[in-house]
Amino acid sequence: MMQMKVILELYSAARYLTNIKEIEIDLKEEACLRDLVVYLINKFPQLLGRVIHTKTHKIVETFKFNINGKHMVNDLDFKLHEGDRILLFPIDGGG
Amino acid sequence: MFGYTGKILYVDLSRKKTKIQELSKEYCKKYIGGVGFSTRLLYDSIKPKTNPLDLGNVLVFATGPFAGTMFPTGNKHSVAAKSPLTGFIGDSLSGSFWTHELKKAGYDAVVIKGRAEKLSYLFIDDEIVQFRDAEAMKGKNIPETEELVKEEIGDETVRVSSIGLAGENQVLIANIANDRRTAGRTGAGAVMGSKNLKAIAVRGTNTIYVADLDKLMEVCLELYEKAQGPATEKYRILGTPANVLALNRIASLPTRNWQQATFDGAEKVSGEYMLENHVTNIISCSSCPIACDHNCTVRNGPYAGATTSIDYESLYALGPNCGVDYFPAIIKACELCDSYGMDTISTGVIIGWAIECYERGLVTKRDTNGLDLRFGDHKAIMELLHMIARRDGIGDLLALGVKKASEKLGKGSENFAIHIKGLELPGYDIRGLKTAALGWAVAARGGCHNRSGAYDPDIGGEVDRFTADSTRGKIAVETEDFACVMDSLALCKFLRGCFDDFYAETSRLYTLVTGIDMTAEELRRTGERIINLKKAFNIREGWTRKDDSLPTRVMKDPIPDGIAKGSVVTEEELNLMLDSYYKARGWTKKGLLTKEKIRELELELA
Repeated sequence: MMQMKVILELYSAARYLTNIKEIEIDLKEEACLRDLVVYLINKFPQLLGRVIHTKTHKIVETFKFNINGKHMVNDLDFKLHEGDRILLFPIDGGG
Repeated sequence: MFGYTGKILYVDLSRKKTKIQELSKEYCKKYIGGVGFSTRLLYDSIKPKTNPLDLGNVLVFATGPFAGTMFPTGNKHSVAAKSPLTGFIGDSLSGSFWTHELKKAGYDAVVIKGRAEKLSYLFIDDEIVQFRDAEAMKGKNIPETEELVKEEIGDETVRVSSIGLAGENQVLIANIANDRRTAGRTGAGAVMGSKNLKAIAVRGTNTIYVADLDKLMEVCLELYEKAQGPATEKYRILGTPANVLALNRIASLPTRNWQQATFDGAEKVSGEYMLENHVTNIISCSSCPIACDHNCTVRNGPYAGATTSIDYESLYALGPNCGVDYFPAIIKACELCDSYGMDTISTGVIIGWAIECYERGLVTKRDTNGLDLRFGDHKAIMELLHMIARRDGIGDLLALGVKKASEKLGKGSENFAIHIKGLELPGYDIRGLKTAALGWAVAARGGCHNRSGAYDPDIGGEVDRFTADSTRGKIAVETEDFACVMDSLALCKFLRGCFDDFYAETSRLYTLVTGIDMTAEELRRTGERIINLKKAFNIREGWTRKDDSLPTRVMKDPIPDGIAKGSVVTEEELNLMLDSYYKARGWTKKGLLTKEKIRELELELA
């Protein structure tokens, strides 16, 4: 099966819990964000219950995926491409 | 009554008189509390066109219905007045122990008018209200004032809300602080100073009763559990400074007075750096299970010993926006602001503007008492901060806030004065967050991330953040109504991720606490009512459509760097979004309220 490389950048609690700033990941060609989440659960189970919901395996509401710094993406079926930089971070304010 | 005390305390400082107004259940249901109460009270108490620093302005402190109960984060209060910065309605939320102490003393809100003959403080001791001399506290900063008040009353447990030197000097960006928290925005500290009111001490010994204790406890325990789960993880680990690297990465971190949207020193001022090097302890407000407040200390170097809480907005304003990448200097600058009682956002923005003025040659060393003002020069910035609080030299100009200061200086400096309606902007570059640009443009109190959550859809990926279209009006309305309901229930917005169906859940909780029936739709409608009342206040003060605008830099200077390079909000885009917003609100094309809307919302307007 053909593979592709993407780079994941981790921020905030995701970085704190994994102690990793960015990581190159091999995924199957035409992989989507859901495949990336599966990878994360296997590689970094400590994210479960804190950045990834334990039951639904969705990203918690305060965290977002961003593709190449431009657009945030909620849809876990979003298709990734070779060389994509995927950011996992929380942004919000208030208080 | 349950939840509410049913009483508003009116204080006339000129005559040293007080009176009590009883609240009806209908009033409570229509305006909820917090920002809703303060909006109604301001509208009813201030004559149109009153000078904000004159006797006729009133200062309101209003609690929410959940204050004094076990409801998580419910101990917040609104501080409101006609803003000396904007000339429109001004309100800001603070929180923690002072709030529930006021409720326990027997009041849902306090309305203060007039001016004391000399510097004074109020002591609200249940039903007894004393007017006390504060001359000994003249010029004292906030922590000292709190201590002096407690010492004089002889009770360490009283709670104190006070102003520092900036408020006394009527610096227009002055705030009011209690329990290490501040009602930071819109300059209420200057209004308090204009009234010769240094502090309000409160001691309350009554009990707050709720309508259905058993069910409330059951639901609150679930909420406590959620509030300590993944929905609030980011606040607990890094606090809001987690935003620095993320915003920098998407080119939305305003830098050097919004001349750039990325900061080359971002790593050195990040939440991650802060946690590793400066966080000494993490604190929560009263009845809050989240605990986002990261207390930071400088251990060595020129600012050794400085200590204060750091959140993202303060960090952006006094860090990247001033070109500062030295974290200890940011802690020191925040500590000074907290001590003098100045809004950190406004302070950082006005200093950024002053530095740009200097670098462009619009002000010189003659104006700055010899200071060589440069982005990143934290020593000069620290001096400038003292000068603002003391209104010394150019500090007297900067004390007016960036809108008035730039109008006074002229020379084209208005074009890089970063404000909306006179309120300096928080740390999200809205040139690449276009729904947020609309939400901030229309916000009644001016440029603000707390009265409109319109950046959520941009950042959440629900819309294309780089484009504007006519769907944004409805989105901005929904996020604004939501924020208004939260601010009127007087809840911390960090709790917002803990609800699956916000209006359904909070309306039920409202009924469990107060015993007053409330449906989800009625609660949402209440947010709309309060937003419309704020608008009515502003229209009475002379608001026109041109006030719903954006800083010239946001509309004329495209972002020069990072992934958002080239982004700008054009006049055409703003007009398109404004039209859609007014339409979604049911207002006229000029943005004015219609008779039908006023009737529909049962707004009693004088």
